[in-house]
Amino acid sequence: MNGTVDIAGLTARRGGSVVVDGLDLSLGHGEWLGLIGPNGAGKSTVLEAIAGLVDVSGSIAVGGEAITAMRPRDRARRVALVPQQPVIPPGMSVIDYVMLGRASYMTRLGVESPEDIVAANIAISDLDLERFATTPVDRLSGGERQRVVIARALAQASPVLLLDEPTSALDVGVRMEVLDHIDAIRRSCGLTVISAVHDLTLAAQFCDRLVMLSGGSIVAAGSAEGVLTPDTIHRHYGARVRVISDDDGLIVIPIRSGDSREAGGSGRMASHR
Amino acid sequence: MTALPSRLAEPTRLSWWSVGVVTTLMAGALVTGALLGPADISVSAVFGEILSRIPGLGIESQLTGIQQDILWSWRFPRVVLGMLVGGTLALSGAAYQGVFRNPLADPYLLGIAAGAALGATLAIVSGLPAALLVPSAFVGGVGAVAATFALGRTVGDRSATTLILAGVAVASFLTALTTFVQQRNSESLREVFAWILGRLSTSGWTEVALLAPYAAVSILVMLSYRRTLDMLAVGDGEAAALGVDVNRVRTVVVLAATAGTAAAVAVSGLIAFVGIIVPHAVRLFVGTSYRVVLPLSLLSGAGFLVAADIAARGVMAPAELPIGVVTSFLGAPFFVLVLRTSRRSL
Repeated sequence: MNGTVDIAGLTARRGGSVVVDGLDLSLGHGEWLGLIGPNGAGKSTVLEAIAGLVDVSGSIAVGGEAITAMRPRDRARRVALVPQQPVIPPGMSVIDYVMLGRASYMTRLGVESPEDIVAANIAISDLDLERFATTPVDRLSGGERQRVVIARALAQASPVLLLDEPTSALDVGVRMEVLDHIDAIRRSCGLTVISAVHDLTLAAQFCDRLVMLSGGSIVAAGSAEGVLTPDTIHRHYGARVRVISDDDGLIVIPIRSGDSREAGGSGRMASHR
Repeated sequence: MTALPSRLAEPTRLSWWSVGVVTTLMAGALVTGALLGPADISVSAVFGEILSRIPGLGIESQLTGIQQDILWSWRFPRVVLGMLVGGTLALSGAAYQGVFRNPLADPYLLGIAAGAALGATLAIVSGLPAALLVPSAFVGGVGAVAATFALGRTVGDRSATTLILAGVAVASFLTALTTFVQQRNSESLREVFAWILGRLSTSGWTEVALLAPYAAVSILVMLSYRRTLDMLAVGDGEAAALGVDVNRVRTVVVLAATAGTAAAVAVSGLIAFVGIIVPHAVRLFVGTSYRVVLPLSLLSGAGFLVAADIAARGVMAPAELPIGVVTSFLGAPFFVLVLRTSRRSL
């Protein structure tokens, strides 16, 4: 199935206020788009809108087909979501959890076919989770657990994968491992990925293209070099950063402002001088 | 990538050994229930009597006419009623726990049993025909679960505790209404009072015939939705993103569980905590997947209530305790245990 995504005039409200305002966005098949922006910019809402979890106006099409009016099971075959804080049911095994990703292929009463079991096992294998297949998910480490959630999304066999801050709770080693996994699968399976990312360096290193949101609208879009400039980041995040570009890619380093250094750490700074 | 593993992991399935163990325990309770009573009838005589009713076997019953009457008019209907009520209440409890994602959900604690009791009480005091008893209880039960759910949501906090507190409030209100209706109709008070405490005493097969069709449909629907309850375990939003029609599943399962509960309450009154004790005990042995917990809760609930009835008949023999007293005596401490073990998720 074709994984192109075309969003036009997307507007979403939460609690009566507009959180995404007239968003236009297009992605090619197999592309990785990073949604960046300060807290409350509307990144998660855009992902939830594509997954059909919030009421929206405007149009969203995957592979040329409008998905906003689709039944949940039809939409789930086109778009898979990895939520920011997935619910892990107590005691549910990895295989049972990953099988949930096959819900849209099962009968309405949830009866699975042999193909569903094979697809779930392949997803488990792709994320190197075979040895945990019958282990309860809530007994795994944070990184393993996150890989299980991604395996569930892969089992959906949807052409578009939505990731909402997929690695925000993980340490740097596990974070790189999980993102490398996603990138490898994206390349081998031809997945289109849209991810909300807080870490600007990771966004620059993994995403083909970045879109910066602020106040529900796009304020910058394009390559990492074009979007992640110190001025743009300062304007929308209110933070001073240094941006370094070298052979390892683009790196964004936050810099503590002089004012806050004076206020919060003057004693220590003075002792270093 | 996309390599098929050499050995496929299988999703959780109902194992034959677990069904076998639970069925054996249930059968033990049934036989004990059928043997218990002032008239001394041996196990072999009971089996001989059952086999004598099967045409073509040529087996003759050793029982006298009175003994046969005791078995077929009193003991068998009582254990069958106990099976049906216990199985339905336990299964409904497990289904409510799945659909509300709440380990404390139970027909009694959500106010559904109280709503069904009010509906049935109104039917009794209005002199409605027996055929309308269960539909009246069903209307009361649906009204109660809708009120509990709406009240729980208006508070804004969707925690498990809030839903139960809403259920307690609804149950208290409906129980007060039921008492009021009873006091206004003192001529039928004795009948209603005996029934409201929970009873399995029956003469003949009237109650079984009244309950069986509703219980059968309710059980069939709940069991067929057991797999989708596992899907709801990840929450409404995630389940919807996975392709589950959450509202449809919730509506169908709640209606089926309420129909079963209402029918059980209509014939046996308020028998509390079966829906908490049985599913949680089952989970201790077989894990949390509803595709396993639901069928085993049905079988275990059937055996459990027959066993509770044996206790109700034996503790103060020859007098009988209302069976609702026995289940509450066991259930209240069990509820505290469940509350303690699940406090992290509340």
